[in-house]
Amino acid sequence: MSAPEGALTIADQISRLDSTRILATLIRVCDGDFQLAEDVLQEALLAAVQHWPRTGEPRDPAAWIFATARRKMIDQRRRERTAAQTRTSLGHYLAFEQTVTAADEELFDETPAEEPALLDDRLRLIFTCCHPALSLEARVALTLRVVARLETSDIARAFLVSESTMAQRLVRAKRKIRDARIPYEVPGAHHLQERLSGVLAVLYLIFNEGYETTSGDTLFQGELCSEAIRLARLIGQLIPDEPEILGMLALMLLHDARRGARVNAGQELVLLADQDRALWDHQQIAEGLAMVEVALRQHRPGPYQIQAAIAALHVEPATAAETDWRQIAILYHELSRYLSNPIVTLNHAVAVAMAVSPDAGLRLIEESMLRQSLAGNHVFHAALADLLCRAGRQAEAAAAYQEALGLCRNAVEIRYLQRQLASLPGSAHEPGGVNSFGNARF
Amino acid sequence: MKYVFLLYNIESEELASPEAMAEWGTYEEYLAHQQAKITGAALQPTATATTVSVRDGETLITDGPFADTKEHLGGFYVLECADLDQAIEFARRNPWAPTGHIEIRPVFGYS
Repeated sequence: MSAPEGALTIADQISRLDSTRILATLIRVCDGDFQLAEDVLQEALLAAVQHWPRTGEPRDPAAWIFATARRKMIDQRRRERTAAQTRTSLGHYLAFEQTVTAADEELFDETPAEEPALLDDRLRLIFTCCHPALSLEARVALTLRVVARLETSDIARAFLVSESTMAQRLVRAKRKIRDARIPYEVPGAHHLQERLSGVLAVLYLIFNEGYETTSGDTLFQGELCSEAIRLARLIGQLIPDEPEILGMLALMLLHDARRGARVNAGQELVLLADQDRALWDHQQIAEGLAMVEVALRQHRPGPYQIQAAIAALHVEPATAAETDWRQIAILYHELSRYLSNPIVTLNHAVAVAMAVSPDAGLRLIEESMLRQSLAGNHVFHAALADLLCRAGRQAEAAAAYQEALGLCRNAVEIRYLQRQLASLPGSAHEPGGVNSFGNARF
Repeated sequence: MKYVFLLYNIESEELASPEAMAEWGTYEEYLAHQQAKITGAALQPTATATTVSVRDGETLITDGPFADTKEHLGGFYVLECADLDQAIEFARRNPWAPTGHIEIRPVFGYS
């Protein structure tokens, strides 16, 4: 069910954050029925459009919306029980006295002071949407639709699927939550860390979806990054002082701060080393850097904090040439203790190549059998090509670029790889042209 | 809410070893303590299975299990669980979780 234009304007007035909070509490009073909660929220927003121009905006718009939606929910349940399937007209609702009762206020209240912030309904919402019993794509879709309150059509566009496919995905996910009874709860203490990393993985995936895709609707992809940051801030606010949340938020901020410099006016990819550092968002970088410090000072290291520290080392120096690759190589080695994944190994090898010598990096690549594990990954072949080129092995570099081109699907990256390949034979490679294909991103 | 737990594993002698039996004893005690168990059974090996279907009025009877998979259905439980998280906890503690797979399916009809 989608709301008419007017309802969205009202929804904007109460701000999306508030609407997430209203929805989160509604889902709880609807006993975890996501679809019912969303439907009655839409109806309440519709009622607001009809009502407010006549009566004026209520003192507490969010509480009014909640109270109205809750009443519609009770009404709906009653109708279901009496099996009276006739659709009640909107007029019926409008005749209803729209006041906020004490019961509503109690249900829709700020978190009681003596309770930990974990009891915030929005936190229940996030943990339920990111429940591991849902498929990863369902978790991402639900989080964007239900927590971030994005429109289904926009989410579909971001993930390059049709709106009906995305709508189906959402319906199936909500049905599983209801039918398999996925609890509307924040997990207990002994599973909290494990489940929290699952939540962070979903948020980071949303961020990456916005960050890595340099083709398609770039404007909207940027919005995905902003949404991921907004959600990370929200969860950081709900679970304060958790270093991995801070680490992930810092990591996002530091990457996102470079967004404006990653593609030039001609829509061509600009590598980290060649980016105009004046185009970076330095205020956001300062915030990210401060956050990394706060996180690391807790001495509870984790993969996001380490990645944020690496990102910090990339953005701190005034020029690319001053980058502390030795420190970056050490951090990647540290990271591999948490994430045993060939991309981390590749990044480590690239950092070693930059800190020591191209040959040292290439040796690591051979030793860790990356040619096998990353055979189908264009980023690997591009990074390998760059290292081979630096080592003076031009013919092999050309072959690796060809390999990368055969695997790459992104138009902007393909043009970049073609330029690299064209500049190879005969002409010596540009000194200091740091390839960030594997390392540190574009 | 009732969930059916379908227990899959590769059939082997070790599944019936004294150590394995002791683990099942501990697990059964745990379920009893949680007052979760409604019913459950261990199944005889797939060599004893017979699969039946009726097509166009004709009964087809074949030797062996319906699905020819590496891991076979070796037993099941019906457990009363508060929600999926509790069901996952029961599955996680099942003696076959480290070697096989436990599929959790909610049963139709609430309460």
